[in-house]
Amino acid sequence: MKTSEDFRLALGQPDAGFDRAMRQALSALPAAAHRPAISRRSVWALAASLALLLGVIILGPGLGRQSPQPTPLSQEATGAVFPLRKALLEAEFSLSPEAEALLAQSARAGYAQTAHTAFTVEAVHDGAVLHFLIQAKALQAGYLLVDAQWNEAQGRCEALEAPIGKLFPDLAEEEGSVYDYARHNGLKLLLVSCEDQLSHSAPVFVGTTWYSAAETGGFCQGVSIGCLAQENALTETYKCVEYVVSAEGVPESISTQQITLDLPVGKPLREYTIAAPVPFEQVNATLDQITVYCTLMSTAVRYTCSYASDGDGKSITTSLYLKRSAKQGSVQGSNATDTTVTGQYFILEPMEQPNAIPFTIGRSVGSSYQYEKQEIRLVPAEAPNTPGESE
Amino acid sequence: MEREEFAQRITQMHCTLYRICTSQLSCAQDREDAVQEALKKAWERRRQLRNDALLQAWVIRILLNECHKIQRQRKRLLLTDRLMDPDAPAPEAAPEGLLLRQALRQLPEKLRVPLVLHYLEGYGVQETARILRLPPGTVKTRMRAGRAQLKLLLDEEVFEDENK
Repeated sequence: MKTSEDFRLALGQPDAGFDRAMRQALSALPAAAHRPAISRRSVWALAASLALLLGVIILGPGLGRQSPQPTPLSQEATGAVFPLRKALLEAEFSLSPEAEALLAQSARAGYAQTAHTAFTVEAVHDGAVLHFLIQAKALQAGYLLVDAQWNEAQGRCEALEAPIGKLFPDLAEEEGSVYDYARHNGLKLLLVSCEDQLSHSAPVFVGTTWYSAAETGGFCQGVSIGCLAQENALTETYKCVEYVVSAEGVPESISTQQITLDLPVGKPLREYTIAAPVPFEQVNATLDQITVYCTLMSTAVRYTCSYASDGDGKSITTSLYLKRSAKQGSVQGSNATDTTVTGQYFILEPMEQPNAIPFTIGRSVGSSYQYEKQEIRLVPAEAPNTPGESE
Repeated sequence: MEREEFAQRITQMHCTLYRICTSQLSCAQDREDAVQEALKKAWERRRQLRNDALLQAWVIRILLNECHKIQRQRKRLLLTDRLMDPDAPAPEAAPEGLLLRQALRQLPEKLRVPLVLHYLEGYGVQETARILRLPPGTVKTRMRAGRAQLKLLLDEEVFEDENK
C-alpha cells in the first residue's frame, strides 16, 4: 500500500532553483507599500502634512523645487527577478523604431469569417523575431467568446467548467463557472480554438500566450514569438475552429476556417554579434547511436538528430532538446515516428561566445514519460567569426 | 502584515508550496515562475485577506491558480514541454518515486488537487473544501475517485488507512 509519506517522498524536497526563486520573490517584495487602516494618528499625520504643505506654498516657493520627489515603485524593479521567458510571454508588443518603420512592408494579415466569428491573424517582424497576433471577434452581440476547445472524445469542455474568473480576469469577482455565468446572463457560448499548423521549414514557436476579453463582442488573441530563419520562405497556416455551444452545453454547430500567411523573407532588423552560421561538430552520442549535427544561426541553433533504427519496426519517438537549466532561452523540437528529427533551438539572449553548448539528448519510447537521456556538449567545428562582423 | 512576517510565514510553508507546484507542473522553470508570481500576487493583495490565520490556505489558492494559468499557456505550446525532460529536477529520485509522481500527475487536476491537499499536506476535508471553494461532499467524492484511479494506475491500495 502506498502511503502519504511515499507520495511526499516521490514529490521530493524543494530544489535549489525553487528555493532561489522563492528567496528572490520574497526579497523583491516592496516594503513601503503597507497602508494601515485610517486611524486617529493617520488623521493627525495627514493634517500635519497639509499644514506643512501650506506653509511651504506660502513661505517658500523655491523650496518645492528642492524637495525630494516621491519615486513610484518601479514595475521593473519588482519584476526584474522574474525570468526572461515570462517577460517575453506576457509582454505586450514593443516594436523597435526600425521595426515600426518597416511594419508596413513586413506585416501580413490573414482574414477569415464564419457566421459567428471573424478571425484575423497578423504577423510582424521585429528584428529576427516574429510576432503573431491572432484575434477572434464575435460578430453578433450576446455571445461570450471563450478561447477553448471542445473535447470530442470526452464530450465536454474543461474551460466551460472552470471558474469564470480564471478565464476572464475582469470577472474575478463573479461566482460560478464560465457556463454558469453565460447561462445566468443569457449569453450564448462561442468556443474558439486556433490550431496553428507549421510547415517544416518554417520557424517554430517559442511561446504562445492567449487571453480572452470579457465583453460579449470581445476578442481573444494570441502572441507567438518565433524566429525568422533567414534563408527560408515562411508560410504559416492557422486553422481556426469554432463551436457554438447550446444552452444544454453541447456544440450546436462547428465551422472551420483556415488562414494562410505568406511572409516575405526579410533581413533581420536586429543584428546579433554572431555574424555567420557556425557549424558544430557532429556528435555521435552513445544513446542508441543518435547522431547530432548543429548549425548556429544568428538567433537559432538548427539541429538534425538521427536515430539508428534497430529495424524492428518499433515506433520510436526521438527528441532532442537543449538543456533548460542554462536558461538561455526556450526550445523547440520535432518528434516523429521515423528515425530523423530536425528542429531549431531559439536563442532569446545573444550568445557572447558560441563555445560548447550543453544539450540533453533524449529518446522516448511509447509514452512521453518513458525517457532515456544523456548529456552531450556540442563544440564548434571551427572558430566563430569575430563578434560584430556583419553578414 | 509586515513584510518580515509575511516572508517568515511563507518560508515555513516552502515544502508545501513545492509539493503543490510539483504535483501540478512538471517543468522546474514553470514551478519557479508559479511560486514567484503567486507570492508577488499574495503580497500585493494581502489586504483582501480578512483573517491572517488563513494566510497559508489563501496562498495555496493563489498558487493553484497560477499553476492552472501556466498549464493553460502550456497547452498552447506545441509539443515543446513534452519533449523537455518532465522530471528533470529530481534526477536522484528512485524509480518508484518517479512512478508515484507520474501516477499522481496522470490524474485529472480536479481529482489530484484534493488528494494532495488532504493526504500530503494534511488539510482536513473542510479546509480543503474552503481552499478549493467546493462543497465538502464534492471534495470527498473527488478524493474517493482520485484514490480509485490511483489504485488502478499503481495496481495497489493508496492512502487506505489514512482516510480521515
